[in-house]
Amino acid sequence: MWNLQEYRIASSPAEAVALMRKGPGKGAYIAGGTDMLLEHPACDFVVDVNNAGIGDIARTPGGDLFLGAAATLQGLVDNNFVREFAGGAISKSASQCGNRPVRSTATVGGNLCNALPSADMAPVLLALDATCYIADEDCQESLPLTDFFVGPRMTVLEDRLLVGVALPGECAGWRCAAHKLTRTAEDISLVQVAVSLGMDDGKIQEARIALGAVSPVPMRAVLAETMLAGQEITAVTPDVLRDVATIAAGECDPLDDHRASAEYRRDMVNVLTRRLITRILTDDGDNMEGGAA
Amino acid sequence: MKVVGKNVTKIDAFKLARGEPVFTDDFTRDGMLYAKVLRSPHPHARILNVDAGAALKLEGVVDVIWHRDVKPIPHTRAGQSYPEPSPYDTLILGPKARFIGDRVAVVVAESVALAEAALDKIVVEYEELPALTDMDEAFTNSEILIHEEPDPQGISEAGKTNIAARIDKEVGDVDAALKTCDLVVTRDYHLPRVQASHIEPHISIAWVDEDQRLIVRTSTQVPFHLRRMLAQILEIPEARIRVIKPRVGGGFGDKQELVVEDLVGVLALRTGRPVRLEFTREEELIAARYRHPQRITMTTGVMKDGTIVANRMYVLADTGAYGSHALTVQGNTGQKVLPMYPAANIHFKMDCVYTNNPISGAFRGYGAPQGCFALECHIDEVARELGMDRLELRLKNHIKLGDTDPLSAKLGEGKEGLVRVVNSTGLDKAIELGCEAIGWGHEKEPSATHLKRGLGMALAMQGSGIAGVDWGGATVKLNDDGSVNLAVGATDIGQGSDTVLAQMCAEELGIPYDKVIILSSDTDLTPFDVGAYASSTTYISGGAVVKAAAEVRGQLAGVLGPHWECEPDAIVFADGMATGPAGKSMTMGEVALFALYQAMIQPMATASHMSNDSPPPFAAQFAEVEVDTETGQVHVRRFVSAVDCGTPIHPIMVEGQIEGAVAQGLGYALFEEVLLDRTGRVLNPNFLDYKIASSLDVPDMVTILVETDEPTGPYGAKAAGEVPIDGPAPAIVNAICDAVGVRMYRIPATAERVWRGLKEETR
Repeated sequence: MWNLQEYRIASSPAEAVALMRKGPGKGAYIAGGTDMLLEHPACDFVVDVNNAGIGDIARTPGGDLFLGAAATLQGLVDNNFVREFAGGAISKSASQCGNRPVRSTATVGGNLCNALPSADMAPVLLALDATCYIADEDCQESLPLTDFFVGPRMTVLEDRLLVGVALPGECAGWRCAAHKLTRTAEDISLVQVAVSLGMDDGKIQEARIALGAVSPVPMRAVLAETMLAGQEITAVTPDVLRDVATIAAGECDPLDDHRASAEYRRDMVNVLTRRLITRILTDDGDNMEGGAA
Repeated sequence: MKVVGKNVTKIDAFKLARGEPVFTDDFTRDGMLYAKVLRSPHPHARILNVDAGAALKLEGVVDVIWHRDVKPIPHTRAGQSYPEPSPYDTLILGPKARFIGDRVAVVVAESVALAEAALDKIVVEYEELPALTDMDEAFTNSEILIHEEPDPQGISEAGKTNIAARIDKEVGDVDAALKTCDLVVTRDYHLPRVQASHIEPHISIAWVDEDQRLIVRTSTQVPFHLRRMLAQILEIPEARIRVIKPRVGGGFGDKQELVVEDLVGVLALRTGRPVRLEFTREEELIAARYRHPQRITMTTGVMKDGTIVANRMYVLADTGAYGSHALTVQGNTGQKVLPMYPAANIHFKMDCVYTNNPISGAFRGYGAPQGCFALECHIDEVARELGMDRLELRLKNHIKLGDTDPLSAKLGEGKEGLVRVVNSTGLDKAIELGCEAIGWGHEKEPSATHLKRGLGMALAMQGSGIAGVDWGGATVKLNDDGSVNLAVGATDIGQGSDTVLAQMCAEELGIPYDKVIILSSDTDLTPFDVGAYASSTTYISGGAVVKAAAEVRGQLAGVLGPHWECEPDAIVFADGMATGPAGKSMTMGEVALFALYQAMIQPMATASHMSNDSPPPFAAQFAEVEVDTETGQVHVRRFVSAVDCGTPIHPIMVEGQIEGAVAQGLGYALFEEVLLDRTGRVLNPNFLDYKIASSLDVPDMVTILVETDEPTGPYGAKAAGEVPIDGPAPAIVNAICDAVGVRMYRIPATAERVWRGLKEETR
């Protein structure tokens, strides 16, 4: 049973952290609240951050894309900066989360802070080198999203507030594709894979392969990435692809549960990794959005 | 026809669209209390003591009851005609919990939150017992008895085994016939436990009125059966009970059952205050009812030319902790399905066992979806082994006009049934039109290299009510302005029966549809009806409406005849007018004024209707799928349903029935399954993990109505509600097999199961 006693509204990140620390009892940040209303976590009060000035989506002069933690997933779907960044991969991932009413309420920060292994937004953001910005009462800290997740439902935050994530301008021109494997159209992912490749001079300069729902936290398949990075595009033969995908599948650590077996999940990492890389390398870029993996 | 066959505005559309307070939950009474059920954490345990002291100390907690507070009167919760063909194996609150989620105690408090808080404070002393959750083990194990009570009624092998119900009926001699066949094919098929997932949960509100009568406002399919059952178990006369059914947000068979009404009844009588009990979605998925999980063994003997000589179906089914509908659902698995191919030799045998799993019961299709899956997959398998085209094999053997259903006489609802002859069938036409719509025989190119396309089909038949059992009444009363009150016991649960019955009434009286004011399902105010189940309402209750309206028409002709000095038979009622010979005519309003104020009679009639026939509606259903050979994912691209339901009284609503059934059938085929662990605990009691189809999952649907004229039906109508849910699963699974050569003997055909099948195939 939900024993919520108090609803606090913060007008800035610093105030939010202060309200969280004020006590008494246990508190939680709330933005869209879509997960919280399902789960009714044991807390005595919540701190609403919707008015804390962290809902903006912006492109910095340096070209970085900043996604405020309280930006809604539908905002990510609709925003032109996001739609243009890395072929619109972030918009596409956001569009596969829940349904429109959920997306219009749920936020990107909530999706990350809830820290489910299957967090819908994590793989694509990991694949685009996202950095997290975290507010304390009197300072801010930033760290790579790869270091943000500590375990299932656990992040580095403790009582601090995630104010947003930034994607480096260099990634804007990367080719990125993601796929969420589900049982029905509106579902938690069984497996999610996001791949992004920075290509130049006929070469794969940068490679990122990010996996969701196949390990305690959303993760990068670093060994598989290393096999791709620096390769001539023409050298990426079907055999190489198969090896890369197999290595990626070997890097994850999926669970057996009633949604899918570990064996199936691992094989799907293999299949989807191979397909996504193929798609990026063979597509002309125009039909990256919307196509099935 | 002026009204029948027309897509009139659904009679309750405006109030529903406006969000008027018309459902059970839109209603409150002063001083209403809220009930919550304490459920067993053990699959099998004696309830030795319930200490509610701490719970009762909470302010606002009014009462806690458990089995010591309620007289033990064995009954069935299945909402069927009396005497019910389901075992009397249930108590309101019993001394033994038989599944994880079984009722242990009930709290009533001033709010839901308080009632929930009180549940946490109740201390129960259990004596745990060994449990049986595997149906094969329950079938053979007679050491552990789930129902060992001394005086149950209607359990097949009470006190000896865990068999709740069994059937063994044979036409001809299957063993002998199989020996003469050129080919005998035997396969096992496995059917999952699925839940109806109606939008509106089970909910009831009960109170004692100023006349000391118990009023129960409830979301039900069976208001009249409920009144009888409540009288029996609460030990108060029917005269002191009124059951009111408001608008209902879906039932699908899951509300052909007393699920919460007994508890609100007991508590309202005890406390003297109104009591409300509403299931959460979790409770729906644990403590409502499921489609029975079954394993079906099919054995079919054929000749080289494709003639089916013998068919045998053996069903082992899990009824869970109680035997609601155990006999009749499983009976239907054979009865509604095997007649599709009326071989000279048919053997149907079933055993339905108790287990310590949650309860199975009625669910749209009522056993036929299981049987149809097995039979229609099996026909494909037989065709494959025979090297014969699967369509041709079906065309050669399916039931035809004038054929006698070989099983109906041997398998009634719990007793010998009536002979059924097919008096109308559009099956051949349905097959022809369906094939055309799906592009049967035309291979299509898949849209990517890792995808493969396939086509599948299935034939289905059902019934229209239960022959010789189902009946309903209707009262028609004419008002001053030519409008009529139509009162029916028939139960509109969202399927639109109020609309269809009003259409028939208007047609029969020759008045506009909007002149009919319908009142349905109030045990004080309307005639009896068995309720909304067995695809009976249009065919059975419609028959009563037509009779009553015709009788009122006769009464009006009887007063107008002398007035106009003509034979009553010469008067025609149409277009809101009564027209006699020699240019005599009156509007229906004028007729009403004349009857009421000159002739001084109330034109009014009540009629009853039952049928010794249960004419089968037919469906031919087709799926086009694309299977991902690497992930196992199945995408149903197109789904065609060609359905013969006689005359469609309201074509768009019939299409709605069919398309809704396809969506439900799609879930059955591909992703719906209530998962239990070894102790019978439900692992996915929520819509996050119990997946049903949303609008995004539904394929492109083509729905074709094949009109026939059923001689025994009102305006030629047969049923439409259940038959279209039978075919989707086998059609889709047959299409998967066509696409990738993998036969899914177990549904749902989840991506992972198909993936495993593909891996085994390549091994």
